[in-house]
Amino acid sequence: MDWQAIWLSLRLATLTAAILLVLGMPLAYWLTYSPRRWKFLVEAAVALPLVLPPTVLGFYVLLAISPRSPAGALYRMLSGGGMLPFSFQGLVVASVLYSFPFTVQPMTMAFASVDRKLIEAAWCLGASRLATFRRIVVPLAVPGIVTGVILSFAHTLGEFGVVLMVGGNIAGTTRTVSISIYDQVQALDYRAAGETSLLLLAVSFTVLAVTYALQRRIWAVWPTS
Amino acid sequence: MAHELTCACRRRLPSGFTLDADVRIPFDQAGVTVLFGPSGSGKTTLLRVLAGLERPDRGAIRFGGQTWFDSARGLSLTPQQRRAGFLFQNYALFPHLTVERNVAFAASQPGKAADWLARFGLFSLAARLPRTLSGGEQQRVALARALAAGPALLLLDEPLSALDAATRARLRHELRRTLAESGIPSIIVTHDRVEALALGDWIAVLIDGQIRQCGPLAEVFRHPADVHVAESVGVENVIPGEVVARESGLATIQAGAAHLEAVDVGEGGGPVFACIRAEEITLAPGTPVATSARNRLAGRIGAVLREGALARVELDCGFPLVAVVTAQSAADLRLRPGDPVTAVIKATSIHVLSR
Repeated sequence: MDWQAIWLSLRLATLTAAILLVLGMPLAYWLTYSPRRWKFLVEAAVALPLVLPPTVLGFYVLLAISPRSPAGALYRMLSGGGMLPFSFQGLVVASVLYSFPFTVQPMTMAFASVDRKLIEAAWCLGASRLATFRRIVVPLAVPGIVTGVILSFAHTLGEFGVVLMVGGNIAGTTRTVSISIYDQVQALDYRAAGETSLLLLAVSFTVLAVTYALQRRIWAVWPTS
Repeated sequence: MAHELTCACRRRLPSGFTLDADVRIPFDQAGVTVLFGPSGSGKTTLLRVLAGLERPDRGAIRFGGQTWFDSARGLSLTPQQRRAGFLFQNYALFPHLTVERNVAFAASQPGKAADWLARFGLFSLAARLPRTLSGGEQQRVALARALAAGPALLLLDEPLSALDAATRARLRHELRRTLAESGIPSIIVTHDRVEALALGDWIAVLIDGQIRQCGPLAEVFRHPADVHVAESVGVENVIPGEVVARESGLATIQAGAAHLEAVDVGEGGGPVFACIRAEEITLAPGTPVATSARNRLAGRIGAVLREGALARVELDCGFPLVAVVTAQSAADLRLRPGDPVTAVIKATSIHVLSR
């Protein structure tokens, strides 16, 4: 089995999920509570990876992070000559964009399901908006937040198209587990491909099963009504 | 005026309903003010506007010398800045926090929460989650939490409506006492006349989004500003008094110099309101003579006002009393201002509300 690729995928998925937790919560909060009329445009943009072919998304990401693009140039300046395409860092950027809806949508739904009166009650008791978010909204939305993080983790673990477009296939740098499986099948090594696939299947199933089990428990302890 | 609320503002809801409230409440006299009106009259919206949870389209709100909202100056304080406590209809207790932490959420210092738990007899419930509490217990927690935040003004949205009838009757007096003891200016929304009478010092009547009348409770009931207010308040005579004796199912109430006998409902002693509908009062000329009715009050006619087929007679029996008789009777009895008259009231027509 290609343990190097498995380890790389785990690192990529963990990092992506962590970044999305930090970026996703404020965005989901804004999408839930903002009175702006044009927020549907942001919602549509966030949901794009759900329908866009991974190759198309990967292509645009590749263009956007190329050394000649503003983002690529900025990264080059900050990292002292580093380049994003065909690097692990580039993969992280692409994965974050690719998994955005998987984090933001469960969080948005969880925030929206928090009784508005509880938030208003906290405000009337003198709690600032940030304190209310931290002490009331987040604890009550924990199941949705956990779901968002786990889904982005599981989704990144198995990604293929975007990774191939942005990262290529460099062992130890950008060769993820799904690309490794593809390589093994191309080399007619069905036994190795079968083992790796089974591992990925088992990990994905376990992660999801634990999430749903945890959610049931959390709901049972903290009912919303 | 240290504790005066003035509100003159307009808010149009998406449904097309327009709240156009213009009211002044001097809390020095009106400690607990009831915001009274039928369902859909905009009571909750007005309360939310006062709390800063909803923004009026235009107008101004001032409380205790501080401007909370002024559309002309583009000024609107947040709920946090207004320090107006809000008691929600379903109490809005934080479901993931214990009773103690719900109260501590509001308390300015951590140690203060324990004081509030003690004051509201909540120590035994401190570790419980809100969903394990009865409605009455939830209300107590919500009230303790609201007061722990040290509000300058307390807004209560139908605080008793989520309770069953028996608990409601019991908690009415508890709520009244708590509010009176706290000394915090309060506005209570209700559509229930009995609740209004049991809880309020003042009353503001809101009908179709407009404040039709605002004043001392008994006065508004006695002199409704218009027919809509009269219809919604329903009882003309609200006489403050004191239960001085109770015997064989009858309670004797001292009101001014006079004594009233009413069917005893057994709701404690002490201060009460005796409520009498104007049409339940019979008038007889001259001084009292014996009838089967328990109450015969000597009085003097203040004014006689014709209202179609009816006549509204205002009396002074040591306390003001309003009677409604047919215009024909008024003419037959030759009721004229200054004449002595006897008001005859059956004990069963007097509804006693303890305060």
